[in-house]
This record gives sequence, structure tokens and C-alpha cells, in this order.
Amino acid sequence: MEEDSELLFAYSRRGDVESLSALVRRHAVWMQAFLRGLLPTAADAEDAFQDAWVRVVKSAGKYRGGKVKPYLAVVARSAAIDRLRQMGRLVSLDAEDGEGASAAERLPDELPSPGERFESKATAEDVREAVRALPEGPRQVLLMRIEGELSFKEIASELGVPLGTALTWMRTATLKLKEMLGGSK
Amino acid sequence: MNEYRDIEDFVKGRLEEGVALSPPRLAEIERVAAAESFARVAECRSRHRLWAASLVAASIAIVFSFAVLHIDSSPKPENTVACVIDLLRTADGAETLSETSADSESEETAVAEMLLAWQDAPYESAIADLTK
Repeated sequence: MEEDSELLFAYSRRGDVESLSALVRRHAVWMQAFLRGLLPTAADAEDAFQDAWVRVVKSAGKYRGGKVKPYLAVVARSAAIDRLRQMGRLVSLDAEDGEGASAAERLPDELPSPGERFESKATAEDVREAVRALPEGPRQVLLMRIEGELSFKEIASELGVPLGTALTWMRTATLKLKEMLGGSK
Repeated sequence: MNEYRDIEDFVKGRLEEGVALSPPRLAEIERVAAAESFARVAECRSRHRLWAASLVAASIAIVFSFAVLHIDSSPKPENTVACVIDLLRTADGAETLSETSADSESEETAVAEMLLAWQDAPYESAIADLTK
């Protein structure tokens, strides 16, 4: 199987649309899952998905190599942010979660012990709802980490926050999801 | 963060459940990609044509300059002789030659007259002239 970078180069240098299609198909699922976590509806996520790929296509000539998946995550996040801005629903990363305290200050008390197994009967829709209910910063860090596979350093740089904040937001997101999805010890 | 791996894997699995690529979306992306690729290739070809034209023009200029320089800087010996002859044949050249010739003739005449005068003079006066 060809590497992502080979497919992107095949399109950017030779104009091979088939290679680009293969790349789109390969990354379609996680990108849409990522966008569904950031946007209110599945239709919004599909629109942002298309926007993201149009951006990739238009800037393909500037691609000089490097990891494709984190790059796609950054482009997809940018497309989602633009869509939220158009909808007037863009909120700051430090926005409060509706209960009067900022996300970073509201860490759950319960910490998992090493080796603890997480089990839950939550459905896909329950999980999407739970993710969308997270504060903006922790939600974006969680999605960029688990779907885009960016390093915390890359996430911090992308969000323009210190590395410690990105790590704290990831911990917040994980613990809140555990709390909301009813994981058992 | 290893202790959170289970939660992350669970969330990732659920988020991706039932998600599929819509064929019309893929078709639209392919259409934009094809159009963009066509535009990029056209731009690239146009840039190559410009480069090729510049390269040809520069090559012609270099070859021309070299040829002119070569002709100017290496005259043949027979050409040099011909140039000198031509120069001598010009009005200035002829005048210079005739002036030179007239000067030398007048000098020769003066010497000859002096010799004739010495020849005709008496011996004593000639000695006297030399010892003055």
C-alpha cells in the first residue's frame, strides 16, 4: 500500500486524481468523526469535510513532505472553525462549560488507577453527545489527539497554548468522558 | 497518559462507528481536484514555455557575441598587410611619403654643393677652413 505522502505527491506533481481519491477514502472516516465532534450536526461535518479537502487540493502544490494525517487534522479543524464562525457559534478555547468555572479548574476528583479497564454501554450517539458537551479546549485537544494523532507539542502549538495547558485539557476531557459515559472500575 | 488509553480507544471507536464517505462528496472533491490539477499543469506549461524561450534567446545572444568577438580579435596576417597598404594609399599617407622624400632630396643637394665648393677651392684655403 502506498504511503500517504506518496499519494499526495502523485497528485501534487503528476495531477493523479486517482491517488487523491485513494487518500480521501483512506482518511474519510476519522476526519468525519473528528469533525462530528467539533460541529453540531452530521451535515455540518460533511460540509466541513469537503471544505477541508478542497483546501488540501488547492495547497497540494506547496506540499513538501511530512506526516499527512496531522496535517489533515489541522486543515479539518481550520475548516470546522470557519464553519462555526459562519454560524456565529465559535467560542473561545477558554470558554466556561456553563457551570461557572473554566475547564482547567474543573477537574473531576476521581482519578483512574493504573491498569484500570474502562467499560461502558454508551452508544455512538451517546459518545458524540458527550464529546460535544465537553468545554471547547479539552474537546479540541481530545479530538486532535485521538483522531488526528497529533503530539501534545503539535496540539499546543496549533491551539496557541502552553504544553501544560494542552496536557491538562486532555486529562480533563478524558476524566469528564469517563464520568459522563459511566465507566466502571 | 497510558491509564486513559482504554477510554481514548473506546471514544475513538464509538465516534467512528457508522461514519462513511458520501459518494457525492467524493465526486465533488474529485471534480475540484481535476480542475485544480488542470490549472496547475497549464500554469506549469506556460512557465516552461517562458523558460524555454528565454533560454533560446540567451543562447542566440551568447553565440552571436562569441562569433563577433572571434572575428574582431583574430585578423589574418594578409589582412594586416592589406590594411597597411590601404593606409599608405590614402591621401594622408601619400602626403607623408612625399614630404619625407622632398626633405631627403634637399639635404642631398646641400651636401653635394658643399663637396663641389671644396673641390674647386685652393688647397691652402681649404686647409685653412678646416683648421679654423
